[in-house]
Parts: sequence; structure tokens; C-alpha cells
Amino acid sequence: MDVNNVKSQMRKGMLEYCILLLLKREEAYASDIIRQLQEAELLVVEGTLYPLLTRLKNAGLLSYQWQESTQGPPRKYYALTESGEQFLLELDRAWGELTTTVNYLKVQ
Amino acid sequence: MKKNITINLQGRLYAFDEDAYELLKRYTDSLRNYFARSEGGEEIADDIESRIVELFDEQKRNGAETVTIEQMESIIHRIGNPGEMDGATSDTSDEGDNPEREDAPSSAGEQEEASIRQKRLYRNPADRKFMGVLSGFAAYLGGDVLFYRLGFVLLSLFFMFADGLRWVLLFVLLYAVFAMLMPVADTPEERLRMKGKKVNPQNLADEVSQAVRVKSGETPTGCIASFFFMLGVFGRGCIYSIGIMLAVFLLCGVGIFIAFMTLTSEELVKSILGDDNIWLFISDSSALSFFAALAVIILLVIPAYCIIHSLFTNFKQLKPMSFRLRLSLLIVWIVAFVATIIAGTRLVGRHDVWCAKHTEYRRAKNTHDGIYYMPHEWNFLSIRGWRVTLAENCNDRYTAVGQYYTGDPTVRYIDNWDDAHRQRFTIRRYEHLMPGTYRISGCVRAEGQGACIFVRLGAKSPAECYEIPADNNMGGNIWAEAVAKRDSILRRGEVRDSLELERLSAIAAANGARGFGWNRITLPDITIKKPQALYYGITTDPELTGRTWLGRWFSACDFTLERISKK
Repeated sequence: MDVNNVKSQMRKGMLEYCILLLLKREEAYASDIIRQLQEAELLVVEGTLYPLLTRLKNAGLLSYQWQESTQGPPRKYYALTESGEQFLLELDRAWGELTTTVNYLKVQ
Repeated sequence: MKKNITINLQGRLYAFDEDAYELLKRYTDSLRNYFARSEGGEEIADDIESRIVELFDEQKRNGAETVTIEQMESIIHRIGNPGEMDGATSDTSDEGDNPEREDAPSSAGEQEEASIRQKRLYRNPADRKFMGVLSGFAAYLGGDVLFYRLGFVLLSLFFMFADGLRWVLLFVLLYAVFAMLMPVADTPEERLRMKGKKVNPQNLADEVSQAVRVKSGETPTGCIASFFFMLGVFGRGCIYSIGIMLAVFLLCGVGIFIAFMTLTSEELVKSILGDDNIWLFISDSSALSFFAALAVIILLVIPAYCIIHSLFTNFKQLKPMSFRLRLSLLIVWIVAFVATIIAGTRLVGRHDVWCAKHTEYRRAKNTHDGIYYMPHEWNFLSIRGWRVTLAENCNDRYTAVGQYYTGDPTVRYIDNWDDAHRQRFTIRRYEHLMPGTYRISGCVRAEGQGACIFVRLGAKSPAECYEIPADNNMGGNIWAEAVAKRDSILRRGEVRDSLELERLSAIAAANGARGFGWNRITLPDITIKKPQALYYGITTDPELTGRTWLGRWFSACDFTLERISKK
């Protein structure tokens, strides 16, 4: 049992939740998300983000619009949809339950 | 120095080192392949590509002008390989039935398994002597390619010495078949599969940078292309060797020519080329001969050199000649051409003069008692004591071969012909004899009447003539006797002298068993009372025979003079 392995599994599980959280605050494009996730040490390789974003978008939780950039080609700016907000609420609830459970276990 | 290429990515230009671009292409291809089967895969790949472009921009802002292989490797490391990317959700989305979508093997055992499964037999153009077949086998089966090559050559040589050249052909053919059937490990992925390594970005990057170090050179990839490539190499090889052989022959010939021309040693040339070719080297000015030789050599060597040079150029071993060199070669060649013509004309003129002189000289040298003999005829006749005393309309020919009575085509005999029946010919022997009784006999034949054997005692007395039977070139008593004797021996059924039988059979079989018309004539015995000169011979001279010669030819041989008693 490798501790790093377990840690990365935990991070992977949280990744979608964190992306939705980030996008709730403000709409962002992929590189912004990557930077913020890397600051939080949630991302190992950048490529991981792209399949996730596409899946979330295909599930109707995210939408994007193209915006011109001063520094290069146009960028896709992602934002939460209505159902994305609903989904996030559910996840918030689940996260609350999780932390409660974990804290309870820790105190005991 | 690295080759640099400019690529348009999403509307902007980026400069790449060639190997870096190669790696980028492999990487994005592998991404597209990987995501191709999942929903929105195209989009994922596009997004990642945008990210890569963004990272290029970042590096550009930091002052990097071209994308190097190291930068490309670090970008790939940063973005990750497709398996890693998908890890987060692979258990929730697809069933993982696509083997390529499996996570990177985590233990050494799995990796080993993967490598065995993935190893494939490829031709290896990166380390090739000819088409890279043996190198591919070495990669597939393991071991150093050197031993495969040694084995191939030694085995084919061994079989060749043991059982002939066809084994080499078989080996070459086998090689050609494999070369045509085995796919080429042309891309980094294929090279990885050839070596049995896992195809992932890290290995790809290694492979790409290695491929730059080991420049692969050009080798065709398809089966038919391989076939024609090998055919081409074979063809070029043939032309190549023919060219080299021609050059060698030419140079040898030229060398000998120079040697002769410059030496102009009459004796040496005579001994090698014979009397009739010595004209080439008889010169009042050896400078002319020398310049003629030089001009001819230049005339030949320049085109030969050009042909060989162009062959080598086609084989990519020499640079094409510069314009200045071509021009000077052309000028030299034209000068040589003119010189050859001038010197050649003068030499030919000299040749004509010399030929006339030579004919005169030869005529004089081979004329005996006012009669011209071919040297070999003179030898034949003079050794046997024959002397031609009269030769009119004889075509300068006094002997022949081909119709000797035993059928032996090499035996020479006296022979004379003139199709217009005009020749007058006398040939004789002379002996000074002691008293006694003598007998003359000889073999003769004639086409028509009027040819005689004559005998004369002393120089002045009248000749006695015995006409040669005109049996033409069929039958004759020699043949008839031989047939009869042979038949009687065969009838008796008991062979006492097999050599004699053989001789008789040969005579009987001559001229398709018809004989050549030869008759053995024995003249009446001659009695000599006092030491005296005896002349005998063959003649068609009417003054001697008192007859008119009606035939076109007669032949004679095997004349003997025998002393049969002392009285």
C-alpha cells in the first residue's frame, strides 16, 4: 500500500468537484483552471483536465464560449450551467457529509 | 547543425527543430488515436493541442526562438501521456476493453509481459547494411546484429563451397523475399515496437532524439517499392561492374598501346604481333607515333572517365563535375580528336607505302628460282627434295590438304589447280645414283587426262612419261585395294593385325566411303649402268608429255625411290 498512490486517488476523486467550485466563482479557460489546480497541488499532469472538461460539458454541467485573446488564438471560457449549479449543490452536500464523517472519525 | 522547419499551428508560425517537430507529431497523433473512440475525443485532442500552442507561446515570450527536442520533451512530460490523463475517470466511463487504454503498467512484471506482447518483426533502416532485414531479426530475436550478418555471409559461403553457387542465389533470394514482406520500422512508434518497448511519450521522445543521432538514410517501405529498389541496386551494380571492367580493359589496352608506340622497337613488335602488323610501328619519326598514341588515348579516356564519373554520381558517391571541368574536358577532347585525325591520316599514308614495300619484300624473300612460294609450301616441298621448275597459271599454290587418301585432313600433298585448264606445271626430284636397279612408285590422282609422272636419266636425255589415271576425286586403286583387303580380313573373321585393319578401314571410309581417286603407280624398273643423275616428277607440260592437259587439277604424294638390286 503506497501512500502516494492513495493520495493521488483521493485527489482524483475530488477533481471534478474542485473544477465545478472554481467555475462557480468565475468563468475560466483551461489554462486558468490548470494553474489554480496546480497551485492546490491537485493536478499531476495537465492533460488530465481536458477529458474531464469535455465530459462535464457533454453531461450538460458546463458550457463554454469562445473569447478573443490578446496573446494568441481565441480561448474557450467555461462556465457552470443551471444543471451544473444543481449538481454542485449536491456535491457540496456530499462533501459536507464526507468531512463530517472524517472529522467524527478523527475525533474519536 | 539541425534542420529547422516552420509550422503553422492555429494560425501562428512556430519554428521547430526537425526532431522536435517529429516528436510533436507523434505525440498529437498518439493523443488522437487514444481519444478517437471516446465521446468528444476530437475536441479533447484539439484542446490539448491549444494548450501545447499556449506553452510554445510562453516559451517564445521567454526568448526561445525555436522549439527544441528538450523543450518538447518537457512539454510532453508536463501534459502527460494519454493513459495518465484518463486515469481519473477510466473506471467510471469506459469498460476498458480497448487494450491501448489500459493504465501504464505499474510493476516490472507487467511491463515485461507488455513488451513480449508488443514486440514485432520489422526491417530496421536505422542500422542497415542493405535493407535492414538482419538488423530487424536481431532486434526481434535478440543478440548483436554483427553475428547475424557474419552468420548469413559465412553460411552462404559454406554452402557455396560445399554445393555450388546456387546456394548464394538462394540466400540472396531469401533475403529479398524477407525485405519485401517485412514492414519497415520507419516511425518512432514502429521502432519502439521492433525493440519491444512500450509506446509512451517518454520512450517516443528518447526514440526520436536517438533517431536523429542514427541517421537512417533512404530505404523504400512498400513491398513493390522494395522489389524495385533491389532490382535497381542490382541493375546499378551490373552497370557499375561493367563500367569498371570496361575501364580496366581500356586502361590495359591503352597501357600496352603506349608501351608499343613509345618503344617503337621493331624486333619486340615483330615477335608479338607478327610480320604483318609491324607497319604500325615502323616510323621515320617516332614523335608522330607518340603523338598519335597520345591523342587516341585522350580520345578514349575522356569519355570513359565521364561515363564512370556519371555512374558514381548516380550512386551518390561523387559530386557532379563543375562546368569549368566539363568545358576543359570537352576542349581537350576536341583537340585530341583533331590530332587523331591528322596523325591518323599521316600514319595511314605511311601504312600504304609500307604495305607496298612489305609486299615487295615478302615476294622477294619467298621467291626461289624465280617462282614464288608460300613459306609453308616451300618448307613442305624443299624438305622432301621437290623443286618446282615450271609454274604458269598456278595461282602461286603448289600443295593442298584435305583429300589425302586416308581421310586425314591435315596431311599435305602436292596439288595444283587452275579452273581454266591453263596451268603448266612441273615439279621434280633429283637423285645421283650408283649402278643398280631402281623402282619408283607414288600416289597420284588427276581430274583429267594429260598429267604424267616422268623419269629422265641425265639432264639431256628425253623423258619417259606415264600418264596419271583420270579417276577424278572418286575411287582409285588405293581405295579399291583397301576395301577388298578389309573385306577379306573381315570375311576370314580372324584379325591378326588390328592396326592394319584400322588403316585399311580409314582408307575405305575416306570421302564418305567413296575414296578420293588416289592411285598408287609403280613405274617399270630402271637399270643404271654407271653413276648417273636421275630426275623424276609430275608434269602437265605438253612439251614434256606430248599430250594436252585436260583437267583442272592433279595431286601427288608418297613418292619413293627404291634400289631393288645392285645390278
